Amino acid sequence: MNLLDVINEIETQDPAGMDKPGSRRDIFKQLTGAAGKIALTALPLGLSGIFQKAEAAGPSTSTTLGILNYALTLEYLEAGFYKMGLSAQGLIPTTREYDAILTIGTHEKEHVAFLQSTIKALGGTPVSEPKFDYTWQSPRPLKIPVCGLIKDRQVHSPGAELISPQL
Amino acid sequence: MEPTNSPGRPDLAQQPAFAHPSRRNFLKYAGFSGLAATALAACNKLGTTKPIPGSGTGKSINLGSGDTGILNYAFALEQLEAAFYTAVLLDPYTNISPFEALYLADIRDHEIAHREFFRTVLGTNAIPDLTPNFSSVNFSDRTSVLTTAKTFEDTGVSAYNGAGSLISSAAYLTLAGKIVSVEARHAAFIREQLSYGSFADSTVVSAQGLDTSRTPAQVLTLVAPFIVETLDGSNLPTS
Repeated sequence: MNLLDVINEIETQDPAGMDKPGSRRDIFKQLTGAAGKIALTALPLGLSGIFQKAEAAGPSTSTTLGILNYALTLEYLEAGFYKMGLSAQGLIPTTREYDAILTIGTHEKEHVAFLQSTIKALGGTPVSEPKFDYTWQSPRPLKIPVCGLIKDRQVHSPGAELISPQL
Repeated sequence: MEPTNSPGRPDLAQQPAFAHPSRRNFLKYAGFSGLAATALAACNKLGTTKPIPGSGTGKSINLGSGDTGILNYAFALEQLEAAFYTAVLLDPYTNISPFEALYLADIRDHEIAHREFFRTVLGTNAIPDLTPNFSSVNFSDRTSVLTTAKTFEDTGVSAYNGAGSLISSAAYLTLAGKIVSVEARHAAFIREQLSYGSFADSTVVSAQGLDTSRTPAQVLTLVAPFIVETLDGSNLPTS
């Protein structure tokens, strides 16, 4: 998931909110209080920047939750993709590649869980996992260079085509 | 040598170094980066290109407050990383492969770009060029060099993550987000060169799949041994 897209999306939806100096801090306090277990320093850079507060009273939760659910959707997409690859017999040829993809897939599952719990902690409802169609990919969807570097995991750009219509 | 009237560069006439006009200090304040100055001085003096450790002024440099403070904090870290990789490529470790040299040069170029980006954004608010201290690094040894690189990259990632909530401007936050992901790519690459499978292991990624985050105070303590000057972060935002 590209958190930069998340941040940009927030700015698009609520540009006024992003520039209020006090607003993000208030949200942090609310988060740590409500969730109890989301430590401030545990929030990655991108997520820490997406919270903003409306002018008067409470947080602009609909926008925040909308964006978090957008992020959650992307994580479902990735988690499902790696799960599919890991369970496909004979697809990943070496132990080293398998272990690396297992690491990535595990992280994506953890991201799904983290976002679900964060959304609930903010009083929202996490979106359900959509039905994805991964059939666009070539027989070897994960291109891992010989050196073992992990390929850029950017979501295929016309991502909407991968997400079932009921979203 | 160029005059130093560009923004962010100290005014020559007011620099205390002129009371002690060693060749290295003169080069430094004449607009050369700290490391280039030491490299040039080292060339003449020792016949090598390794930086001379511990020979800076050792003075305290206040990073400032608010977003400026955070930008200077990031600028300092990028200076350190750029200087380190520059030193590595000037005098590569024994048996460095063409592949490793190519990618370490890429990393070096990214860090230089980051450093110069912050220098430009900060303008007259920029802290001076820092003097690195790499005396603990054995530049001829692959493990020493890559382990140091890993420390710098992991620390850099945690620094940007920890600074995120302290930044006021949405524009700066976006930019920080675009930099931290690059640092994490560097960290993953370096980690794989040291140990296959460690690119995103549990020493840096939590059970929630989140990368490490540290406060400026924690980071400044970690990097202090590598910088001659003392960085003062006492005015940085804390929440």
